[in-house]
Amino acid sequence: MSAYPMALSGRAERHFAGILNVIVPPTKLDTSLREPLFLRQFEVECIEVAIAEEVASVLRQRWSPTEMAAARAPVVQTPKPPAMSTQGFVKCPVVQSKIEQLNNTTLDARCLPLPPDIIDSGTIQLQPEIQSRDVELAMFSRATALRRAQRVTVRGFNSSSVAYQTSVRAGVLLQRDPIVTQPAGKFEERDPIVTQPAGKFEEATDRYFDWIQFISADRFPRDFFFKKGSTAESKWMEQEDVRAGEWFFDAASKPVVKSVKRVVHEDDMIEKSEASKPIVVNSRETEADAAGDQRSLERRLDRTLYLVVKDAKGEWVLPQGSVNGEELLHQAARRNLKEICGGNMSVWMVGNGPVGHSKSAEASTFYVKGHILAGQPNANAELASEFKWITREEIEKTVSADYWLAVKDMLSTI
Amino acid sequence: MLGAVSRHVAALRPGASRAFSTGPVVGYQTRLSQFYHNTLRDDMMILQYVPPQVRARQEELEEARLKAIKENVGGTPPNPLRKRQQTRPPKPRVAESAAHNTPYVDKVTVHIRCREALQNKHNLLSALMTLQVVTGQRAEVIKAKNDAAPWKLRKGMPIGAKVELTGDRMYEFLDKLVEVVLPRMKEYNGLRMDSGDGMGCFTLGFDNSAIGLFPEMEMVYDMFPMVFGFAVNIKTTAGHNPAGRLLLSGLNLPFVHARKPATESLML
Repeated sequence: MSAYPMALSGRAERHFAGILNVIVPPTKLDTSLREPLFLRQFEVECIEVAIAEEVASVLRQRWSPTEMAAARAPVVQTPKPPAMSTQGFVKCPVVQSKIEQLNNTTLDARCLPLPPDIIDSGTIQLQPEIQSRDVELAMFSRATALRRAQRVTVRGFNSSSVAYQTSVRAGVLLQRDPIVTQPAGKFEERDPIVTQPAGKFEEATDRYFDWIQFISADRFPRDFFFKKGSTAESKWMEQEDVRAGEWFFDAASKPVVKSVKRVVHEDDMIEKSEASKPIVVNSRETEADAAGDQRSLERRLDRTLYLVVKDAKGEWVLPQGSVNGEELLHQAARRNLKEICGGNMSVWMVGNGPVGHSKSAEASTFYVKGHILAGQPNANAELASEFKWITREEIEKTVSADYWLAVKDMLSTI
Repeated sequence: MLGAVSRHVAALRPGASRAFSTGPVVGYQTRLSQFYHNTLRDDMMILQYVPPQVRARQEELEEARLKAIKENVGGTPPNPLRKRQQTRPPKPRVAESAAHNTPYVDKVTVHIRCREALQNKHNLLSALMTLQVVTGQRAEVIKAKNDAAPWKLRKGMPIGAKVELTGDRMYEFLDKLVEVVLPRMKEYNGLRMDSGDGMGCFTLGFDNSAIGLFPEMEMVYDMFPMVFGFAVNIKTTAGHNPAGRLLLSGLNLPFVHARKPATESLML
């Protein structure tokens, strides 16, 4: 089970009866389960590199040190992939063709380091000890290839793959998801396109359809569940009487429930235990709502809250920072978040790719989405003087007009 | 928006000019359904996004692979099993994941196959009642479609019970399963990673010890003369297993890798 926000422990009871209507907190989606089409590309690339290295090492073992020294040693780059399978395994027909290639043609020097005499002669003769079987073994030794592949970096999004003239910055869209359910009838559709708030007609329609469902539902088999005349039965009938009253449009037209003749049983003597006390539901409005404390995570429980920070220039923005060197975007985003907000937050970032971007004269900032699971920001005074957790509407009022236009489509209306 | 979301099921009757229905409402007001719509759907879309350059390269590689198979480059593979795999028809191409076609849970079917009903069809009442208690919905009787002489089964005999859940009831049942029943089960750590039929359906099977773990059954367990095992089939709109696993893991259903049995070479 996922960790529940420590800041919200008061609400954290997963009361199944649904009375508190607590939303399931965001779970750490097991990213190893994600669609391996994306991962396969990474695997393929890793294995391509690994296989090139394996083959090279097999061939290298047969050369003398002088030959090795004399060999042209080009930069081993990721070789351009031949027709290889996307399943992470090298299919044999392709291996065979590759071996034939090795035997018959000159190889591009980028792919494998070779002793100079072989390249000059225009043909490649594998040394007699090297059977095609060895190469096959090297290529089929997936375990070895994968072990080597661990050292290859994860494919991510980095500035070299983005053709921008300006520098690239990484930001984080950190959100706290809704804690309680939406009140019934508030939104017809869950799409980001906002419809008008529910009016009287929508509420009345919802009540009508709920009533039809209630009326046409199967009869509750009271005689199956309760012993005739027992205390439990009479208690249930009282509760049912109250509940049924809520469904009827006109309270006066509700049929009167005939009371059951109570037969005194031994269980009447048992005193009321803790479990039988009526459950008191917490209010949807918290103290933070009343106080208007925008730093609190317990405010606006039915809405999504986003973290905004006041940067060095005094403007309210989503937390962001620079991308250093060969750093990948998601790594930069995490690092920046940690630098700005401190290490006292448990955050789950959604994937490696960005969900939005904003452009300024100096830089393009790409935002990676994250969920806060626990903790609170501990704002670094140099980078961020203040922080707030606010809803979409409140963001519109807080940030500058240009910035709002850039980020509004990333933000949830719920 | 589309199918999964609209509150009232609007079916166009033949001859009708407008989509309107006074039938049962398939609401989406449970916490799981709101979690899906508010949070999970977005996250899944982000996680399944493949950039266009990568997608183009994958297609290129796929074409080259198929071409190599077709031209039978290289002759017979060393592993005889691979030849069998190559005769399998190619899998249908999975559509790109976008906002409008993110996988969602469509339907959950809970069913009981009741062998005891062969001798006495009144035994089926326990099964029907069990399902009604556990799902909150009236169960249907499953009748045999074929004869099976070894088991003295004839076509049309009532042989099982099932409930098909959609909408709020489906989410509530899934919630119960994940939060209450599965944690209480002994030695259950999760669905296997190789589960799933490849078209988005996942099935969990339970034996008769599991039915007593439902909160509704605690009170009335003694009233049932017979307890049965049951199967839960979760139908999602995912096109292949990984997307389905992503969806279900987001709804807190655990997954584990299938463990290989220990070999003799293990030093003890």
